[in-house]
Amino acid sequence: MKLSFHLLKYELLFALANKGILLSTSFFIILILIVGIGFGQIGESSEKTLLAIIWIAISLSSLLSIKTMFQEDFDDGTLDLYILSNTSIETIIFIKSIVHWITTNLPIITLIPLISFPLGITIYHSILICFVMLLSTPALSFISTIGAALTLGEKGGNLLISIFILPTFLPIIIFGMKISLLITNSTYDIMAHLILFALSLICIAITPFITSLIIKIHYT
Amino acid sequence: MIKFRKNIWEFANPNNFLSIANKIIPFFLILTIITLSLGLVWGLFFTPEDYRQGSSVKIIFIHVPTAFLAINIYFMMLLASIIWLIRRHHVSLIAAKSAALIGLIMTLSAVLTGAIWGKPIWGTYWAWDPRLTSFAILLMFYLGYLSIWQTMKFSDKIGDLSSWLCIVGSIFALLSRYAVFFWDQGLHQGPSLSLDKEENIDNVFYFPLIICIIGFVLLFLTLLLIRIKTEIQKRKINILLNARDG
Repeated sequence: MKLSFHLLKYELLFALANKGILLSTSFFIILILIVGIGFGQIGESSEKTLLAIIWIAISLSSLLSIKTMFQEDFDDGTLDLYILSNTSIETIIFIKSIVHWITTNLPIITLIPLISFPLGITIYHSILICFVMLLSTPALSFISTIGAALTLGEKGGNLLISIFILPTFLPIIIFGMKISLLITNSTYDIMAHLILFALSLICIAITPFITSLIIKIHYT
Repeated sequence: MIKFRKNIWEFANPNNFLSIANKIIPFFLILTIITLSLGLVWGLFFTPEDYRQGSSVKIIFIHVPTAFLAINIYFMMLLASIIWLIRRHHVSLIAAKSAALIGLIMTLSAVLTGAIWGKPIWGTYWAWDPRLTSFAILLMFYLGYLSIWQTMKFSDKIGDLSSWLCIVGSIFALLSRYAVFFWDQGLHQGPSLSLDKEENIDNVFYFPLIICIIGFVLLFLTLLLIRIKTEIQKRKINILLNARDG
């Protein structure tokens, strides 16, 4: 337990020192602006497209730094020590996913009211959308660890990760987009909210075990 | 003559598999040609035209079997991957690997024939209808599974990774399918075939359709056996080459 807290602190400090937060938020802002400008040229800019862009941008930016999550530890042998240590590898994966979520998705979610307010979504609705994202985006970080584990030790694995992992974001993205659209229309589908949060919780509960099984393949 | 065997896992020995496959591939080939030509000729030339859809209804004899196979080949890959993870039979892994490309082609042909059918009936080649979307999702997971085999060299490790990818992919494909169906049931008609007779299509189309489905399943089995045989022989050649060089 002590080791877990120590690891959490270490990983967070490491991510902060690497300017991970700055990079992910700037990627998100640039993506939103580029797609927004592109839609502006066609003249199709509405709050519907904005919601779609936000969800796609958040799913793309949660894949950003995923490759380095296990790769550096795998290369310098830290992962071997983690596997040999008392702490189970599942706990380490859990902590790493949480840190990944805190450093990439959380800053982006706090930005969303700032971005969506000038573009036509009311503050109240955008805060509700933020709340939905807060509960559903941890699943994205947790699922993408599977991709990081699958391409461990593979050169140029970034493209492969997107090919493997982007389709698996679909349930979250479909539910998230539809719920956000309903929120902007001031209708609340409680059933859909519950299913989305259940999906997120199931992903958080199960993916560390799957990821640990996949990582152990590399050590047999 | 095939000897009596104690249990089914003895077929998983590549040499046993090869000797049996060599014997049954010609039979399967002949059966496929007979059933497919019977079903397609009956379906395309000797069925009446639908009173609403005209002759465009006849594409059902290709569309339904390919769609049926596209989904079931993924299940077959899932089963083969699980068998590989539990019992470590290489033939099972190779079967999953070989089935993927056939599944991708079946998905593509189901989508294409659906598009050709959709233009006169719905007025559009493609719509973001739940059933069509779930085929797009299936296509993505086939591409993901194939890309792991395309980029990495054949080894037991990659076999494990691809099996896990298949398992994870099928979980999320199923979840996405239900997510897509959550709000509306869409433009596409219900299933053409079901076990309770209430919703089935008319008998005039039903019997040739069943023959077509059997024909396509036989086609899949024949192609699969040939591909597994090729893959096993390819691996044997590689082993021999490695032994000669090193």
